[in-house]
Amino acid sequence: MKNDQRMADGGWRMADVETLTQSYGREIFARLRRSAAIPFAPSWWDERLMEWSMGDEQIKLQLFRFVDVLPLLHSPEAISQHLREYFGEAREHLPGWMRLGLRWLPRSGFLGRMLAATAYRSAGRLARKFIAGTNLEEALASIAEMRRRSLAFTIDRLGEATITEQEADQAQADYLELIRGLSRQVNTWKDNGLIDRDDHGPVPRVNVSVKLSALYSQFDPIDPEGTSQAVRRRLRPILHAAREHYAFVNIDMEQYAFKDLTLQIFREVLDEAEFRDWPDAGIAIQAYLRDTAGDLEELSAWVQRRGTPVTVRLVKGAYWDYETIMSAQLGWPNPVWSHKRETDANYERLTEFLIDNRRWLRPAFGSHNVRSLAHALALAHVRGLPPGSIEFQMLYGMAEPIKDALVSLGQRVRVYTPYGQLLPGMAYLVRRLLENTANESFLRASFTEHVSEEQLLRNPLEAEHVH
Amino acid sequence: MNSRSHVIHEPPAARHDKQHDGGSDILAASPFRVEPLTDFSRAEARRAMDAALLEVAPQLGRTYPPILDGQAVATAATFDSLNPSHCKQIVGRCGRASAEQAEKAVAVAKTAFPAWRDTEPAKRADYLFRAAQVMRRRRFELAAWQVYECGKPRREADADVAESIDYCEFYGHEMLRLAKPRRRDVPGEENVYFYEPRGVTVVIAPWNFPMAILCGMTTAALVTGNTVIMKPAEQSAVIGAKLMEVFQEVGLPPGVVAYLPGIGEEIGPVLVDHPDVAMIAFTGSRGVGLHINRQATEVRQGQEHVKRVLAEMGGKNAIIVDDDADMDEAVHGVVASAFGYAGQKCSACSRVIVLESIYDSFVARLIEATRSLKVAPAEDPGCTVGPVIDAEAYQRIQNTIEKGKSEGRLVYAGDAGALKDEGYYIAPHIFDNVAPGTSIAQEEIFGPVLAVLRAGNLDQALEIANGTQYALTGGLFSRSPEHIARIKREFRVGNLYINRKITGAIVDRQPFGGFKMSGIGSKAGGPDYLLQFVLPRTITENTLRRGFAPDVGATEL
Repeated sequence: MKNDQRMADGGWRMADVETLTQSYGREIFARLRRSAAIPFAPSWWDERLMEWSMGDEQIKLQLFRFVDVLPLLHSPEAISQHLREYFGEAREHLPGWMRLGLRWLPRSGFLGRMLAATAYRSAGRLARKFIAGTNLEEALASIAEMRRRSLAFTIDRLGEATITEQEADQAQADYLELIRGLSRQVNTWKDNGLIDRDDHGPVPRVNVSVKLSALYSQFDPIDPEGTSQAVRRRLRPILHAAREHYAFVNIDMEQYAFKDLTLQIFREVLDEAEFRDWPDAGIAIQAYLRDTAGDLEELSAWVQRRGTPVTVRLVKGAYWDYETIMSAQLGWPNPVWSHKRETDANYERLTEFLIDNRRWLRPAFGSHNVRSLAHALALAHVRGLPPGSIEFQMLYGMAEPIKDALVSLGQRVRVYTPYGQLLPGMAYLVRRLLENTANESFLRASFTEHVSEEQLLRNPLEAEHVH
Repeated sequence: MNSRSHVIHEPPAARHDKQHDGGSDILAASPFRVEPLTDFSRAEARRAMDAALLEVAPQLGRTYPPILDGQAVATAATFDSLNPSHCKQIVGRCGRASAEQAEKAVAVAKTAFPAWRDTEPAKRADYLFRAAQVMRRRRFELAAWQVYECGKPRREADADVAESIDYCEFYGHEMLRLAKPRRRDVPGEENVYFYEPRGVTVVIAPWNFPMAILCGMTTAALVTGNTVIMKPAEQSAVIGAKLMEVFQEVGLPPGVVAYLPGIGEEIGPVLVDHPDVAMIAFTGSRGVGLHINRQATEVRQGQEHVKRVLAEMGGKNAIIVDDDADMDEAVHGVVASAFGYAGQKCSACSRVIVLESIYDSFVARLIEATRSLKVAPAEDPGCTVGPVIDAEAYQRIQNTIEKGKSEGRLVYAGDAGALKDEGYYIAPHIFDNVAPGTSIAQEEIFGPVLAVLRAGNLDQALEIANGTQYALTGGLFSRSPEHIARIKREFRVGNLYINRKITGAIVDRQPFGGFKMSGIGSKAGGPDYLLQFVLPRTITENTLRRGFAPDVGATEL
């Protein structure tokens, strides 16, 4: 009897959330239609390129491989050779005129230099769409520009993989410089209530995303104690500086093999006496992992023992292909959900968990999926959350109209803003390109393939049952 | 933990009967699958490894006598196997088999041979599948022994046990395949082609993959129906005893396999020269391999056959780094290949050939990445470079480094610091601008020493890469499809790896072995390996009697 009552209650409220999700979703779409911008405002040429590459997996593979290797090619000969080789491998997939053209690609001379310059320029343009600048100054300009649109930021340093201790020291120095350099400027800017405050009061404007594997060359989960010590030794001064300059530090989540150790180090450092009462730290949590519900439970129990809340950036996860491939190769269970809708459904369950535990785990929802965003908005509404208690995060250079739509709905939107040199930036760039062109990409479905709103807003939990 | 244990369950009691009347196909029913490595990012795996190290520690220092005909036999002398990480620690005292005991071992193996030869192949395979099960159960413990006895870091010790399991499973499945005779019957005539074992096989194994290589050679010989004398390396004789325990636990008939620890110089010649030995399977140095090969060609009094020698003998493996390589991957791959297990793998990279235009930046990063490795005792979970195997290896490698100073520029000389008093530690060393013809660019070092060579273009790089006596492993880091295609064609080594490290071959997936001075014989863990342990026979029977014959189709062997 009692059970029935509860189920009826729960059922009714779920329906309520669903109705509200649909109306938030439709509202966001309505605002998207009104906004003039298109998702990544590409030039005609870039748009053709993306469309064309999306149309054929083989071409896409070769194009991205070419983009990846380009920064290392220093001569026109090398560039034209690689173009010929890469697209030669996808010969059958090319239109006739290109097949012909491939043979006549200039190797050297004026035309060769022209070709090289064009390739660099195109890749550079593509990179600049997703990377906010090659140095701090350029990044600052991008941040200031975003602030005019009432967008907050979290900055990400693009670097090569840390395989030497020198590089780990350099990473630490870069993060310190970031915090100090940004605070000096950003903290003098005029207040913007929408993004500089949450329901508790002011939030740090300067927000830095840190990858723990960048801070130790021998980062290895087989040795959690040794790794944690080495990472914390370099992390502490960064957290100090953040505290001193009123900046926020978010720990990024990387591949699955590092997940438990990343969580462990996060907890260990924040349990240290000098950081125990510091609330301006957060961690990214990936909804595509099967482990995540359990991880969040543990995190919640820990943070209550600690007594000071942390922020959780809930994302879907960017290494789906990598995890699937590696687990197959190693014969290990696949740590990620096999289907996108399962991840989407999990995201909504975790959204609910975060919203219900927001006193300890402050929610930041990182997604470009209108359905996921609308669901978070609806749930916050149903639970009666005051304005500013949840945050949204999106990637630099992606889904611009969605960012603006959420801002116009009075939401705090923070943009994950990478900066750095082109060379180490390529890995990031290729990941973004893959994301934008993936068959299951929400952005691709909504902006390129014009899938209907009803379908885009479909409840993933429902879809889960149907299949 | 390991996924295969879900697939293959402990055999139900009922099937024991079936097994005893010759062969079971329940364990073999599933196709071969590679045994997954342990995922040490999982806390329970780390705990299991810690627990195993603790469990094994108090067992160090025990005595391991030879086992002949299923019986431990006393020896007049013993030798100590030491822990290279802490060289005062005795891992085990091993019986030092005498020449007479070696003779006895051959006699026992000879006596046991006919019955074992005539045992159903499926039953022989079944012993291997059971051995694999025992190793799965003892996985962490067997790895722990390797940490102590051979200075293997945890992850690599685990990989060695996984490879041992793979050999048992793979050769078991291979035997089931080979056991089906080939038929070419015509009306009135049956033609059968099939294999039978060679006879008494001597297995002489190295210490660097202390269980996997010993296990691979031994199980290949056993499953094909040969009887085996296992002579483990002195430095890993205790792990040899552990493998023997596994064989005993699964109930291999006494006499089919013997455990004969001893000093190579004392019992090796007795075994190799013995007229009743049919085959010698060896893995080790080129010098010893060639010596065995020469000795084995000599026909002794009473010898009725030509001996077969398999010898896997090492390499001088090179990785070529192209000017468009992904530097993160290339540096990491070279460091892992050169300094994993302190370079003591026959597959290890000891030459890196770098294209001119990226030479300086590559070498600078290579040095820093190498400097960042952690030299530590093998049981330390953070160990990336452990000790070398023993005092002799230590001295030999130090001498090589000294000599190298006159042949190239020593650009990085790691220092093991205080650890030098604790064990046989040599931190990594890198020589740069090494000329292709010098001894550090030509001779196998088997230690953490890497030679960097400069090449103006890919032609030169290939010429340098192919320009040694060896042809075992090789690698290329490149993102040029044409260069990759060319290296695949022209870099002539047994195992070539593109855009990854060149060590860590997996049974069945990457059958392992080389040619030229790298070895005689076909690849371990590959489809041709077992064929080396057998003799093919053809039998033709005329079934025509007075103008009529049974129906060909209905004929069964």
